[in-house]
Amino acid sequence: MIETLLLESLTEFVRFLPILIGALLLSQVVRMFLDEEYLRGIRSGGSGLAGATAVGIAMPGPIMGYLPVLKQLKEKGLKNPLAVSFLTAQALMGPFRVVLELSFFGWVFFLVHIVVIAVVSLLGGVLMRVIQPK
Amino acid sequence: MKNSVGTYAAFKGLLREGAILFPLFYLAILASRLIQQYADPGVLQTLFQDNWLIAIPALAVILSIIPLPRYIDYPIAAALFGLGAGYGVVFVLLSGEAVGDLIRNITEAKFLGWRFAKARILISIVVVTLGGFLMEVLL
Repeated sequence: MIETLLLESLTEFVRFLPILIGALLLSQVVRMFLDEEYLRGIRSGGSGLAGATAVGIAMPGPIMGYLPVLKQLKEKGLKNPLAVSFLTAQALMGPFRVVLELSFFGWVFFLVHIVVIAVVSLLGGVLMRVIQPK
Repeated sequence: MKNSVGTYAAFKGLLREGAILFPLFYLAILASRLIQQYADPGVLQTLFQDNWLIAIPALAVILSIIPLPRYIDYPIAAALFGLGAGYGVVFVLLSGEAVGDLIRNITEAKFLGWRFAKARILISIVVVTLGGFLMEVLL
C-alpha cells in the first residue's frame, strides 16, 4: 500500500518535472532581466502603488532576496505603502507561480487570480497609507 | 561574454533552486495523495466549503505562523480543491507566502523594522482574507 502510494507520487512527480524545470528556467530568464536593482525603479518611476504592484507581480524568486534592497530604498525615502504593495504582489505571483498555476488550475483561475492579486496588493498599499504613510 | 556569464548564472541558479524544490515538491505530491486517499471528504466539506467564511480568515492567520516552503502549496491546494474546497480557500493556501511565516516575518522585521513588519503582516492577513472572499464570489 505504502509502496503503491510512493510509486504513484513518483510517477506524478516525474509528470510534473518538465513543468517544474520550465518554471525554474522562466524564473531564471526573468531574473536575468529583472534583478533586485530593478526595484529602484519603484521609487524613481513615480507610478505609485500600481507601479509597485506591477513590478512585484513580475519579479521572480524568494522575497528574502529583495529585503536588503528594500531596506536601502527605505533609508533613501521609499514610502511604506509602496513597499507593502510590492511585497504583497511579489509574494503572491512571479513567473514560477504563473507556470504552476496554469498547469494545476487552468486559465480561468489564473486570470481571475491575477486580477485579485492586483486588487489586494493595491489595497495593502492603501491600508498602509492610512496606518503608516512614511 | 556577458551573455555566457548570464547563462551560466541562470543554469547555476536553476540547479540550486531545483535541488531544494524537487524533493519538497515530491513530498508535497505525496501529501496530496495522502489527502486524496485518507482525508474524509465530509470533514473537508464542513471545514472548507460549508464554513468558508470562517475557514478563509482562520487559514490566513494560521499561515502567518506556520513555515511552508515556497510552491509546495500547489499540489496540496489542488488536492483539497478536488475534494471540495472552494476557490477562496485555494487562494488563501496559495497566498501563504504573502502573509509569511514566523521566520520570514522576523527576517523582514530585522531589515525593515518591527513597526513596519507588524503593520505589513496585519495588512497581509486582512487583504489575503478579502482576496479569498473575492475569489469565492467571483468564481
